[in-house]
Formats: sequence, structure tokens, C-alpha cells
Amino acid sequence: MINIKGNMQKKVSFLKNSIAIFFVVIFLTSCAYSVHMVHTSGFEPYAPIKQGKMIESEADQFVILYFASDNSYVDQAFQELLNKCKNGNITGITTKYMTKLGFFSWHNVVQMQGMCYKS
Amino acid sequence: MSLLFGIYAMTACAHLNSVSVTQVPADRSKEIRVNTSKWIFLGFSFDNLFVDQLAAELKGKCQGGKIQGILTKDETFAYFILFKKEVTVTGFCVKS
Repeated sequence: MINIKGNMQKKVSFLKNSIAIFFVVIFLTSCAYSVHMVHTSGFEPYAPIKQGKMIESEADQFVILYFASDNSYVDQAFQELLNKCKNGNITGITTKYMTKLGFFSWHNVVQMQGMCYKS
Repeated sequence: MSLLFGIYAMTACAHLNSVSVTQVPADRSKEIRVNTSKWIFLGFSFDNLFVDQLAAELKGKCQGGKIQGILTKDETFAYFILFKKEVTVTGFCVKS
């Protein structure tokens, strides 16, 4: 009787530890994404897709407990996109703003993607 | 603890509400920028009229030209009980 009770207690303890480890692993990694918004620009001046080149840029900001002094990562993402298409038109720009959630911290991410047409 | 609270209260917490980009031109020689903001106390805000002036201001900086590659950022800076809503618009003025 005592052995059965002891075994049950061991199993319960093992289960509790497993659940605790599971949640620690989940919270220590970026386990969830929150897409806040997606915006698409127009496609003028119109040109065949084959003549263009797909370009992308991304910038992020690591935030701990809401401490974030500015949003300069947005300008960085935009500048990176411009630098990938110097002297060319960029059309069909998709802008995505999302957050990768972690343990009491998160990454704010801005991704930009567009078609670069050089004249 | 109170020092930490004081630092937190005096430091702005920047939050990005939305961002958008329009088509970017090849000619980026002239960059123009306008912004507008509004201070809000304890969340009391009864209108968003502060945004309406932006388009006119931007047009005023590019007379006789086209404004393209417009990056629009809507941000909120939280200072404990005060909030600053700021909208920044940058673009390129292309003279045709």
C-alpha cells in the first residue's frame, strides 16, 4: 500500500516537473507571433514582373518589459530597402509589422518587400 | 524600488501603431518630412484632428512636384500618465 502511494507520488512529481520544464522552454523561446498590420502600396509605374527584381528588408527592436525609447528600426528597414534599389523604382511594397513574443520580452519586427525596376 | 519606478515614469515607452510605404521613385534627391503630435493626459482624447493638417503641410513642401515614396509612421510615446501621439510622414519630392 505504501509502495503504491510512493509510486503515485513519484509519477505526480514527474508530471509536474515535466509541465514546468515545458512552460519554461516555451517562455524562453519566441513561441508566438502577432501580426499587427500588413500594408500594400500601389504598382505604378506598371511594368512586367520579369523586368523587376524582388527586394526585401527587415529590421527589429528587442524590447524588455516595454522599455523602448524610439522606433528607429522602422527607418532602418526603409533605408535598407532603398539601398537595395538605388536609382530604381520600387513598387508593390508590402509592409508588415509584427511582434515575436518571448519571456517578458519581445522583438518588434518590420519587414518590407517590393519589386525593384531599374530604368 | 521607488528609484526604478521614477526612472520608468520618466522614460518614454515608444510604441509603433502602424507603418505604411508607398511606391518609391528612382529620383530621391529631395527628401521632405512633416510630423504632427498631440499630448494626451490619462487617455482623454476626443478627436484626431491633429492628423488632418499633415497632407496640406506635405503638399506645401513640394510645390509643382509629385510626392512619392511616402513613409507614414503612427507612434505613441507613453510617459506614465501622459501620452504623446505622433504621426511622421517622409517622402520624396519629384519635380516633373
